[in-house]
Amino acid sequence: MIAAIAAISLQWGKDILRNVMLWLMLALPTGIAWAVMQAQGAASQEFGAIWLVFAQLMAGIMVASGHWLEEREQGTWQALRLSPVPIGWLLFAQGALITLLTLISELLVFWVNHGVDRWSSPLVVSMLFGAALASFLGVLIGIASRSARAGNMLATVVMMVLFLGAITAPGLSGYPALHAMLHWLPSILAAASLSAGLAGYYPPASTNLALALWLLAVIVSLGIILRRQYRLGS
Amino acid sequence: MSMIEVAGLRKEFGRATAVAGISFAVSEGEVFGLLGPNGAGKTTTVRMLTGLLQPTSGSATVAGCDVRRQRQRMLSSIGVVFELPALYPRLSVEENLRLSGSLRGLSRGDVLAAMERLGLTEQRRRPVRSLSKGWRQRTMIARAMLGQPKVLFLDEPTSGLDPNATAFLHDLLRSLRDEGVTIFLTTHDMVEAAELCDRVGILSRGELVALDAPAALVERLQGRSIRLTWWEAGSLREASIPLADPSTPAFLEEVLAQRRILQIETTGTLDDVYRNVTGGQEARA
Repeated sequence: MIAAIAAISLQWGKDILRNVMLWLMLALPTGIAWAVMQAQGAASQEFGAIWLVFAQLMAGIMVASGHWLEEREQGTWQALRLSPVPIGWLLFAQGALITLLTLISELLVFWVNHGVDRWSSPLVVSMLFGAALASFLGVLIGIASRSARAGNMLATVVMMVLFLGAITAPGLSGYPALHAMLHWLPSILAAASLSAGLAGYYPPASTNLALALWLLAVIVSLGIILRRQYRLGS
Repeated sequence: MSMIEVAGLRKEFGRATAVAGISFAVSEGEVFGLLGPNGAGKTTTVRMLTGLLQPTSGSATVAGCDVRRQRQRMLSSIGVVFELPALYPRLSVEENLRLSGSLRGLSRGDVLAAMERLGLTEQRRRPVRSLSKGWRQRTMIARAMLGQPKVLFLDEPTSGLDPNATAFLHDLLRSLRDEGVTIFLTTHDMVEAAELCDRVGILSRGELVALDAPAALVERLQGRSIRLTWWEAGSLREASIPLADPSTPAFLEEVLAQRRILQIETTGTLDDVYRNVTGGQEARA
């Protein structure tokens, strides 16, 4: 089973990397981070966590959803469902592959902003956690959408809402009610986790737990949608 | 031994009934054709038999596996060719087949053998997006044949293919049948169905309205007859003459001897049966 998953991931990887649009989505966060760095100098490092969240959302959500929407459009999704390997394993494999690509995108953003000498294991764990959540959220959007157009719109809206949430979170401290509500938005949690990682320590357990619950919710939703698709044939 | 057994299979989408409780069996090594107008329930039936769609009620086994309870096991024993290409356009022919082969635990050698059989070896490095429809169809068939399935499902396999590609596919299906592979195909082409299929089932509005060998269906439902146009007493006459009628041979002998026949048209084809039992049903929305 593991060999099959590894082999298919290799072919999927080739397919993703031959798609110019997906390359752009993977490279865009690095390009923007580099441009801001050129304009603002070291001041841009204060927003390090935001750039990393941007990389997670752009590479994770947009690449994963884009790839799955394409799978549905070209009919290969149906072919995959006819494979003897359980579809849950295939979704996991593709989520993992895009998590890896997202992590690479995050590492490039970090390298552009901070250089290579500020690594810490808490930071890598935070990067990985956020990348996994964004990638599986992208898979969920790709699987759940009825058409490529609807899926692309949904992915863009979700990405924008999450990114704006992460940007505006620091300014919400003056509004306790709003802050208490939005505090649990995954991108704000991911930004908090990354900020802790950038400072060299692990985030609070409640942040990790909340991120884990989001990931669990996404995976459960995937299961529900797959069962619904089997029942309705959509 | 039956490779496909269907009993009371039914699928409803809300209030609409797509398949209304059909029953049939397909033997090992048989070529079975499912015919019917657009919207009759053919694709829904194939999707239920291949485990892509949950039946509302009824049961079906394919290659000895219950399509609901033993879906994963069943999928190891079947191959499916869709009407529309379901390939990764940026990957080459070989990469597409290796992707599918790896899911079945097959080696590169197995993939190369499948490509060899389908005449794809020279095309193997070409990206699928650069292939013609015929080559894409061959790639899809090669993929369906990976792992030597016991049952092959083909949904409109020759739709849009040129005559050479169609002939190649027909020869391939015949050779697979000779090897004992059970073939289940849907088609709109009655000539293809009559030539290839050992038996056909005709679906109309979700119901199986005819099921037998093509020749037997023609015999039973249409009756073998010829349409004759001849001169008689200075005027042109036209009639459909049933071959089974005892007086027909004497009548034909007479008009042939007098060289009064202008035109002989054979009737009683599978196409006639199809139109008869489906009542000329048009495509449904």
